[in-house]
Amino acid sequence: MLPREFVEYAAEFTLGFLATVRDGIPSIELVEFEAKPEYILIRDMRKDGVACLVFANERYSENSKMAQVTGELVMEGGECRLIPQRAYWTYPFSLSSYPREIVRRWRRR
Amino acid sequence: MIPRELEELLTQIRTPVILATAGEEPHATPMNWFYDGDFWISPAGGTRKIRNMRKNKNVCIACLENMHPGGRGFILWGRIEEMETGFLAFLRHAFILKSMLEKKSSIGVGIKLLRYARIYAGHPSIKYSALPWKRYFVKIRILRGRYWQNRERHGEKEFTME
Repeated sequence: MLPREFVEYAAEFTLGFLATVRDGIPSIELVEFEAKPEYILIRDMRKDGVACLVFANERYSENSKMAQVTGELVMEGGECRLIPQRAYWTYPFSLSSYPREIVRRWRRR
Repeated sequence: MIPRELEELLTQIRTPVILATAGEEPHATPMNWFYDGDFWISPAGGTRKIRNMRKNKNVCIACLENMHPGGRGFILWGRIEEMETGFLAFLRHAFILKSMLEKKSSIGVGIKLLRYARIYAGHPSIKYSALPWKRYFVKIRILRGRYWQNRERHGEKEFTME
């Protein structure tokens, strides 16, 4: 299960970039998604195989929020689900004090 | 030739791009970028995307202005033409880096950037080096792509480079 902290973080976002690879060529599609504890629902998509979902805000450097989830796309129950294997996500921080954390990581056990 | 409309987007948009590379599996992250007739990115050294790009020169780049669903944007496919790192590469491409920071973001070059780099480079949760001379400067040759001004109203336009 994805950490609750990640699911809450992802709830702020609805739009992501889904990267897949075919014949050695990477491709990106803009997708709508919803993070659930067990999987990430990718809307209007029919695809399977390994994929990497990225979502982010529009900011750079210390104001940036971004997350990356790598896993397996599966069609189940009529919907496309990304079953996460690992994820990381970043927190914005202030330059005026040393941040306790910038990046959080999770890996399926 | 890159379509004029796309060239305008590449000049005007200031939102980070998402760069996808292919290793044993797909990998994608937001990136600083700049376009001056050539498409440039400058990833930090020691990252998975660098390892991927060393083995496979195919990349895909996507951008959505302000990360807003109605924003202008593009998805481009290309190949790496140049990839350099080290202190000399940093000096040679300092103008590209400065342009990325000033024209494509609100970071700019100044004390704030140094403070950011100092925190980021030494933070225990960061596994790669953010030091300027360990950056890579990567020039990408655009091969084909899609772009849009208002996707809902006008759809996307496609192009292939001759």
